[in-house]
Amino acid sequence: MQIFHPTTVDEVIGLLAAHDEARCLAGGQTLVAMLNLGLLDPPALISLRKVAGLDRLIRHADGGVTMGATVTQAALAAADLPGALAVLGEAAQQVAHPAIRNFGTVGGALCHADPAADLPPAFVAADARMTAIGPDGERSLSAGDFFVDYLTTALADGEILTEIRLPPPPPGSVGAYLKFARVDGDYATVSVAVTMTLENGVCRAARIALGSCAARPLRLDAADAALADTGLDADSVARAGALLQEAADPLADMRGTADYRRRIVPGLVARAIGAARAKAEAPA
Amino acid sequence: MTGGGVAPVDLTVNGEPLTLLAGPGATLLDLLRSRAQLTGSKQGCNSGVCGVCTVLVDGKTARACLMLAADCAGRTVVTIEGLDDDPHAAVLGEEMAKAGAVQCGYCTPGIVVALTDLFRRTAVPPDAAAVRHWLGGNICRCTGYVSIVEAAVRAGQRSVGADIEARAP
Ligand SMILES: Cc1cc2nc3c(=O)[nH]c(=O)nc-3n(C[C@H](O)[C@H](O)[C@H](O)COP(=O)(O)OP(=O)(O)OC[C@H]3O[C@@H](n4cnc5c(N)ncnc54)[C@H](O)[C@@H]3O)c2cc1C
Ligand code: FES
Ligand code: FES
Repeated sequence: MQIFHPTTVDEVIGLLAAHDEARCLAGGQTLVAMLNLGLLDPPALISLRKVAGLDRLIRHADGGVTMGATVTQAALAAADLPGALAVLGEAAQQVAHPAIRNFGTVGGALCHADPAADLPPAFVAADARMTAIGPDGERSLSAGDFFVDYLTTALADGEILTEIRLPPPPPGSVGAYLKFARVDGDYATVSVAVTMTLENGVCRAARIALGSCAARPLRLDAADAALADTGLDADSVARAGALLQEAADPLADMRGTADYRRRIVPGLVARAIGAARAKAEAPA
Repeated sequence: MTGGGVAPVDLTVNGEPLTLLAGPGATLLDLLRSRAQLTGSKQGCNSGVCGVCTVLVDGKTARACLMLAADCAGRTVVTIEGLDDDPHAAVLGEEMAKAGAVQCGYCTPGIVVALTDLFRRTAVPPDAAAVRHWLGGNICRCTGYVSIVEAAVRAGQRSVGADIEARAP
């Protein structure tokens, strides 16, 4: 196994093209564990550690944010982003343990595309746009299209994720991330990421994405629509929860059976909506 | 760029600049234990779960088993051996011994490194909940944690705060 330390994105792309089956190494918090366990033996690793500029988190004047792929989970957890984007910080704060967050990157967590991970549903709920660069140039994908299947993204061979763009959060928008796990720091049994825009107590728009409920973050137009233009009354919230429950197709593992996971979806959805709403009601 | 074989890695360990030979699959933990003979950092799960390999990398708590040695060039590493003269670690050691927070001791170096990092970062002594949260990634199979948390809270009360600066070497 060879290890390379390129300093520009162009060099990374060149190295990926030149080495079949090569992998990017970001924080290593998943990749090195897999190497140690013998689950992976790539012929070459391309470290992103020295690539200039990838670790920047830029706050734009309009409230939007551009985040490089190697921003650490700890940096995102501490970023205190405004409005709906708070969902991202709350998710990052609940990833694993301090040591993992110190070195694990946002891009690594998104590219690993583990359906039980915390950042993928949060970035879907925040309506993030992912920038991918490969031999054919640059393209932009919605977070919804980025996650394709269990541990599978829409990145083509030779392509990398370079940055994530978050739209400016609308006035009155709020976000919350609720993780239900067996113990502190474990992967989620079920998690709920929610962003909403509220106007005088009326929900104008909502985006909900669930973790650990399908092969990729689970989002449903119908569930979001069930909340739009409502006062988030109990019936509307229950309707959104029931639609998500119906669509959930979770795996069974040591963190819960598929049936158990499905059963707790509506309750957790209601709690997450309540947590987000409480932020809108809290005096600024 | 480095090739496929064993290659030298320049890094600073416990204040000393070192050049250590690392195979491409070797981790920082392998490097510390086998090449630098620093065996205070332990190997348990080798996959990031147990925390017995906890060291400070560039001033932050890290899993030595999840850092590829070849990706550590230029980094500054502090192991439990490097905390010999650290005032937080010294107080913690006393309190852990008093509380019976060390049984087999395998988890102890990782816990002391992690708590030293916590003590350095906070201005207020952490309470039991903060200690438990911080140590979520450090597994102990012997003590049941109660004595570790007690010791950490007491040590924090003694060593976190302004007067620590005065006692620092
Ligand atoms: C003990 C433990 C507990 C954990 N608990 C949680 C948890 O509770 N919740 C959670 O969400 N996560 C958890 N994780 C996973 C953690 O968040 C990882 O940090 C993350 O999945 C990977 O990020 P990384 O930067 O370390 O990526 P790496 O491990 O370096 O890479 C991961 C994968 O992504 C690819 N990759 C990385 N960056 C890019 C890029 N820019 N473009 C293309 N491909 C790229 C790599 O090639 C590799 O396949 C846990 C990990 C451990 C070890
Ligand atoms: S040996 Fe590194 S976390 Fe277990
Ligand atoms: S004292 Fe034995 S593992 Fe903690």
